Amino acid sequence: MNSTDPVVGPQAEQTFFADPALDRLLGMVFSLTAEVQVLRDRLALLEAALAERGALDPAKLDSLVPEGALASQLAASRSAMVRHVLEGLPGRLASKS
Amino acid sequence: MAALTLFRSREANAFQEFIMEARTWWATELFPRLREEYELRKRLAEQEGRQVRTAEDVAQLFERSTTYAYFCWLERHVQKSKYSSSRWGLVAQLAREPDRAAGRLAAAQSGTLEVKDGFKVPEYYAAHDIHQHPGNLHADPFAGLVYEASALSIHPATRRNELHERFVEVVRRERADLRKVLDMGCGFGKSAVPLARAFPQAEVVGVDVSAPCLKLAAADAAAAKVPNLRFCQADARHTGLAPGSFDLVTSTMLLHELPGEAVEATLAETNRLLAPGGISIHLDFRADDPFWQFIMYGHGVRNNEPFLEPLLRMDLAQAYRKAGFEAVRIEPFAEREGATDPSNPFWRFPWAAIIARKPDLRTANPGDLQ
Repeated sequence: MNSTDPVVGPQAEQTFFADPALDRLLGMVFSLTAEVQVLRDRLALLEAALAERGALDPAKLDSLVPEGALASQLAASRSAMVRHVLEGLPGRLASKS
Repeated sequence: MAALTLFRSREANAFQEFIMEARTWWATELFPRLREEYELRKRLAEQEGRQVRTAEDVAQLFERSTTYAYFCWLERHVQKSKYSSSRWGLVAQLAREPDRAAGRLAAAQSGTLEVKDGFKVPEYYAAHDIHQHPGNLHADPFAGLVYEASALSIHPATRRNELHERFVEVVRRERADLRKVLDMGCGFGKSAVPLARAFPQAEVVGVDVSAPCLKLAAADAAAAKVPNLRFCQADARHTGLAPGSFDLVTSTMLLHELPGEAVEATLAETNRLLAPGGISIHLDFRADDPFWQFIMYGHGVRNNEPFLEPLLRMDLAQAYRKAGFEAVRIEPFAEREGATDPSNPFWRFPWAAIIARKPDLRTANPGDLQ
């Protein structure tokens, strides 16, 4: 498949660039940006909560290694993030046009 | 902006805040650049002896514009992500918090809500997922909540409910002595509730084809303790309500979701339901400028609203007269202070209030009925 092959049939998402690869790539960029922002939001809340309780020493964060349940949680989060970032790649509609 | 509390999940709220921010950037940063580019391209075309008079002329100007491609892409995909992101889209997230959604709808009181068993939505309605809302507004029990949440980011620069409060002021200016009001295509009650509050002496009825939206409307009206308001599932083309029984019939954002013949049928029904001398005020979009026509025609395609362009191309004043109305006025409507000022550089919907009167044949001179 070359980069200009369209998705065939009624499920084809609208495209706006000469090369539909750009349309799909932008979907990933957009989702990634959202992911980063949501993460920053979470991190800021977490650090604020921990610092408020005197439980966070920011200098120690870098030395922590995730294990057990925390490691599984991060794996699930990673999987959902990958799906989110890449879901625009097939160029399919999510709703009837 | 206050933090969103749509969901229990802070991550989902943070995602929807990001979506709103992206939409705002599109409207306030990217759109003005597009407009500047249009003015430049138009000037160059005119220097070459080509006139820009129609939406098709504008489309030609933008044929190879990268700015326009990005503008379109963002309009399409910010909306798509808002609804359909598998991670925190409105549909997926509401399904993850069904108890919260059901709790919100539980306040709907049966006495103020009439939903009909076996009601079939019109074919044109079922055929499209308008606004890119998967399943449209009628299939999922939480569709009203999804729509309500989605509406938060449609008018980035406008305070929530401001548009509907301003619409009430248009109504008040036209007619304050209201006894019975019908709001067609009332959705989740965004206009019906402010109307009922503004005119407590009036009985207000909201009709819509979407049961999930009506349930949310009734629940909110009950929670807000608005006693003079009830909701009924009905098609605006043939409501089944008594003829001549309303002195005001309104709608906001309904007409552009209807195919041409349904617009005509809805106007005829509006006329049938009004008492002699009654007033109709439908709020929708009009665009005279070719640039805005081009933007809005494209919006209809990108936002799954296939009947928007036909409505904008329709001679509405003529359609009103054909439906039996007189004194038809189409007035620009400002959804917030200064919105219609030509110097406003931001994207907005080109709102218009279409105001018309049903002739009162008991008092009119035949010559008045133009």
